[in-house]
Amino acid sequence: MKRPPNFTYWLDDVPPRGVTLLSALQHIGLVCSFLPIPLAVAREAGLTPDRMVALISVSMLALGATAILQVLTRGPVGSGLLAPSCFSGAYLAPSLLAVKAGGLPLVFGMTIFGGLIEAGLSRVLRYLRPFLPPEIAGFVVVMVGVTVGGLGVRYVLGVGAAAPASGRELAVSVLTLGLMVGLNVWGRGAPRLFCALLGIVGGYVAAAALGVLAVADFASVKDAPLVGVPSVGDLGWSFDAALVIPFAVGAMAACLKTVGDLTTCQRINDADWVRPDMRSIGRGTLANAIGSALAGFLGSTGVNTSSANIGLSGATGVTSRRIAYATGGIFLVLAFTPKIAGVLAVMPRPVMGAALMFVAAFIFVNGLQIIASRLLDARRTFVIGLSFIIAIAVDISPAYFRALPAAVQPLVGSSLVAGMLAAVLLNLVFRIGVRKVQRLALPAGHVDPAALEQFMDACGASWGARRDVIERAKFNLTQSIETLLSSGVATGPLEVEASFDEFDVDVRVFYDGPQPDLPEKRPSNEEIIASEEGERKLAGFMLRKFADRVSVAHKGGRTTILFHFDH
Amino acid sequence: MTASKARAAAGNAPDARKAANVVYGVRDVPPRGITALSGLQHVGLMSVYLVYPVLLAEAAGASNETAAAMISLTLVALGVGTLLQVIPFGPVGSGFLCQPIPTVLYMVPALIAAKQGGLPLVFGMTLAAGLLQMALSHALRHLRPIFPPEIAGLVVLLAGIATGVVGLRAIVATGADASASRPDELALALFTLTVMVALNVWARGWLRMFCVLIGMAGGYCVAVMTGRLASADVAAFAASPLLDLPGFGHLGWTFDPALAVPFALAAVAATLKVAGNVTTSQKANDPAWTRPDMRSISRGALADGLANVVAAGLGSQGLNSSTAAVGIASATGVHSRRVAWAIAAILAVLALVPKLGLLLYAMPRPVAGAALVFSSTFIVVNGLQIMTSRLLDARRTLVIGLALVAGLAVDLFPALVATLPPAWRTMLGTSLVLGTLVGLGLNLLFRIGVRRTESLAVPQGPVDTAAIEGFMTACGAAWGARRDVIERASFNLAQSVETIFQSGAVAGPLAVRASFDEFRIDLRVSYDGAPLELPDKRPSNEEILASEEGERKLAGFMLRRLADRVAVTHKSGRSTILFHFDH
Repeated sequence: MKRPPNFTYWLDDVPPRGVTLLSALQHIGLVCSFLPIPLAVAREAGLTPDRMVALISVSMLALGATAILQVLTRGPVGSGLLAPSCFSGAYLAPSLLAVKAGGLPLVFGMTIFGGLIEAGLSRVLRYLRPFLPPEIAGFVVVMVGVTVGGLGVRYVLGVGAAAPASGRELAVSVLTLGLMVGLNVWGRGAPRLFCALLGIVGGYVAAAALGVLAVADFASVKDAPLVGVPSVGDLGWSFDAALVIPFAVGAMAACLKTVGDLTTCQRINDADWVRPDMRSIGRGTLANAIGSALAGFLGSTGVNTSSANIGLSGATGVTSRRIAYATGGIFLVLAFTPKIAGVLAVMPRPVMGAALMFVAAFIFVNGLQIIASRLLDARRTFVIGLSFIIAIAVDISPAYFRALPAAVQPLVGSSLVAGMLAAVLLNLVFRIGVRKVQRLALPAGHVDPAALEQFMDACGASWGARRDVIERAKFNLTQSIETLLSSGVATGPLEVEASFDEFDVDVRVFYDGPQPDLPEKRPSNEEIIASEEGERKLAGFMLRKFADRVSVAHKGGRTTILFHFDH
Repeated sequence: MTASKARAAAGNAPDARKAANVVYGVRDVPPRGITALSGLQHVGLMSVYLVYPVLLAEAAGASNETAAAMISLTLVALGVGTLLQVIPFGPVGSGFLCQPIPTVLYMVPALIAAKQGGLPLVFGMTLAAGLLQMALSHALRHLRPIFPPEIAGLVVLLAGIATGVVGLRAIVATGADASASRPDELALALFTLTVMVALNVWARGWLRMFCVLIGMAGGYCVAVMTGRLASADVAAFAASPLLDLPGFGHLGWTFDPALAVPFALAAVAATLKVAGNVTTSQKANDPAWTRPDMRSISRGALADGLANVVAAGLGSQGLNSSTAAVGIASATGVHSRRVAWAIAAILAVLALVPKLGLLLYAMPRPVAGAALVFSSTFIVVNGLQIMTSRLLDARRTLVIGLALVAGLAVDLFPALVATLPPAWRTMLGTSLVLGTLVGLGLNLLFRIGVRRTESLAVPQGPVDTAAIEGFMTACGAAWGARRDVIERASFNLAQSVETIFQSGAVAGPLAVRASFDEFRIDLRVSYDGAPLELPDKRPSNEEILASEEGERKLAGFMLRRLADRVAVTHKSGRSTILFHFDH
């Protein structure tokens, strides 16, 4: 690992106490923007205000513990990175199903189960890659955005509530959302960083001023003691086999999200980053899995890493592990301060809705970008497009699906679950007939660069390869074939073979003729001028530079050059 | 049947590159059989929407004969509209297969009009809306700044979702009787969809090109064999005449200013949808697509407006460019304009032979719904690719993210729409329109405070590549620039800063200024010192070896090659090198 140039406090650095404290508070502020997720689940369960306070206290306990677990460097748990977890949108849809089926005890029990699934997945991540390609990971993120955004809209408009949102409630939502968006777009520095939190504060103020939040609501805050031990799991835990698949899908989504976030985190922490370190990622997902199980055990909903926090540490160049310990510590202190939890517990519905919508906008676009990072052919288009339509179908005509047999109800009860299952299944079916090795024959003499590029494009799309790697391979293939031809090494027809697995794109060029010299060092200018040999050496040197690795084999008059690209 | 053969037949330049999935490009001439079958495939999909004129006639309390005449006239109008849209003529026509269909966008206001003033009011208001669309099409040419690729992609994505939702509703028949789910209908739709998808994924040649047609025909056959066709449809088919000229008895045009707002809103929405459809077609046909071409979008919008004027003049309802048609063209790779003639001919025959028209009209709804779902998948994925073709910063993320949340909210909570006043339902009641308007509005609002010029000071010493790349990426995301151009620019900036420092001609820090408009990125690097010589030709090897001068020349030569254009100026001791990148 190499220290990135603009970092002020890197992983092992020890920042001054003030910096540590302020950075930790920043991280806590960001993580708190996701508190509306367990709050929404509790609201659907019709929890009383004092129980709500307890729920927030144990939630903070779980967040604190997870932040510390994640940064551990010894033992089997923890990526050793500053990557605090927040409440996960992925668990929102299954949790809402569980609330309806068996109340909060079922949510908590199933969340523990989800954590266990996550832990299991963290051990087999490597083998799952063919079944969970990035476009499916991105699609899951989009569907999480749909769930979170849909709930946000419901709260803002008061769909399904006793009465639709009043003018005043709408005004509070608009003010909250406007503040968040305004600060994010036009703010600078800290206000911009904490736009979500400041928006929530502004929402509280507006709600109080407009009478949406009554003085009576604060009674529970006044009654709450300053210091108190949170009551752990006093509602109990229960289990329902019918919800196994929804929570397994939620766990899978949370796991995919954590893998993606930790990859980003590794990248910003290492100036020499080439590819994800799967060992550290496996340990990190295990840390998050324990966090989710712990959250369920304490009495809250599942967690995953927070991309906003990773963005924050990258932007400020402060990733010291000390800060993770401080973040965890402060959360633990907050958990024992019911007064603060009480303030959060009375969050008005319009404020919560606005916060969820704001968060959903980012989740959405993030997912879209993950999908678009890969080339998509017709098969992959169907995987994404059809799964999306199926997911939407669940949302737009729930009545239709409610008429289906009870056994399949949990599978079609939420768009996230139905869409994810459809995507995984379609991906499996469409793997039939995808060739991992493709060939192209080039006639002697003139080579059409457009044909070569088209060949690589088609290969990349059928493999779902990364757009940028294929672009590089395209450029390099045309360049190297031109070099081969112009240096006079290859005279007859050429054959190109491209093959792929998730980690490598290999392009092999075959021709009849002598093997080119591929020197490691550029021949000196004198050499080049002095002889033809020198010029051929220059060509060979250039060939070597075109790919991540180049090797040559020669057998029975036929030469094979292998260009390897990391993927 | 190879693409190269077809290209040669069309006399295209051999170096004209074709996108990967295009079998017949817009100018290619496919064999007659393929053209005819492609036309039939399109008409099959268009027929799904013939239900709208029927509903409209019912709402106006018109007789059965009038309803039949309206269907025939709609078919004629569709034929004319198809030619207007696909065959470029004068300033009209995008030249892509995104021909019109009867649209739900005009249905909402038209239903109000039909109830208030009968069919003449519908025709009169549609005529006015068509004229408005034509006027709007002209304005489109000047609206490029408010129509960046991420907004175009948003329109495409929402149009795709809307098409898919129409298909879904046809399959699962939502509404009051939603609880009465019909497993047989779902099975029929799944069968049709499976045939289409399987042929598209695993088949080659004709089977792949006509996957939609084969799927629809297969679904239709299964429906007939299992006796799913309604007996009323069979009776109507038996009773209808073989040949008939459509009547014009219901014609008349009136205008009511009270309905101007809903129809005007529908016209705006229709224009946006044309823009989205033409954008998708452009991208599908151009492997090097970088931005929506506003000229062909404007031509397409003009054709769409004109098609509405024709439709209203003939006595039909409002039309709008079909997203599903673009989806089929992308799925099958047949984009040839020739197909438009086949479509128009088939539509004309159907208009004159009511028996055939009825046959089409009786297509079971699940079969039609499956076809719509099939074609919408391509549009959805295209939309998200267009949206993410540019770098997105927080502003742009919020623009499309919030617009999507707003658009989906409409689809997720249809009950809310019913509580709106009718005049506003067109605007707030369809996901496409609400989502797009939110996106356009936020995009306009967030343009406040985006600086088109950003500066960076680079100190002497080892070059911090990450800082330079970070600067360029942040600039690119704020501007919504193309990912690849920004990557090139940041690589080149780092290289040239290094070269400039190495040349030793510089004292003090470098000042970098980056500026952007949609067509160019300019980097200006200025420093105190003598201007660098930037020779056009590589200095000879002897020169390089002989003197230091030669090496400086080599550096200058390399600099020139890093950008699309390079220029040097010198003024009172300060030199500025301009690197220009095409965007």
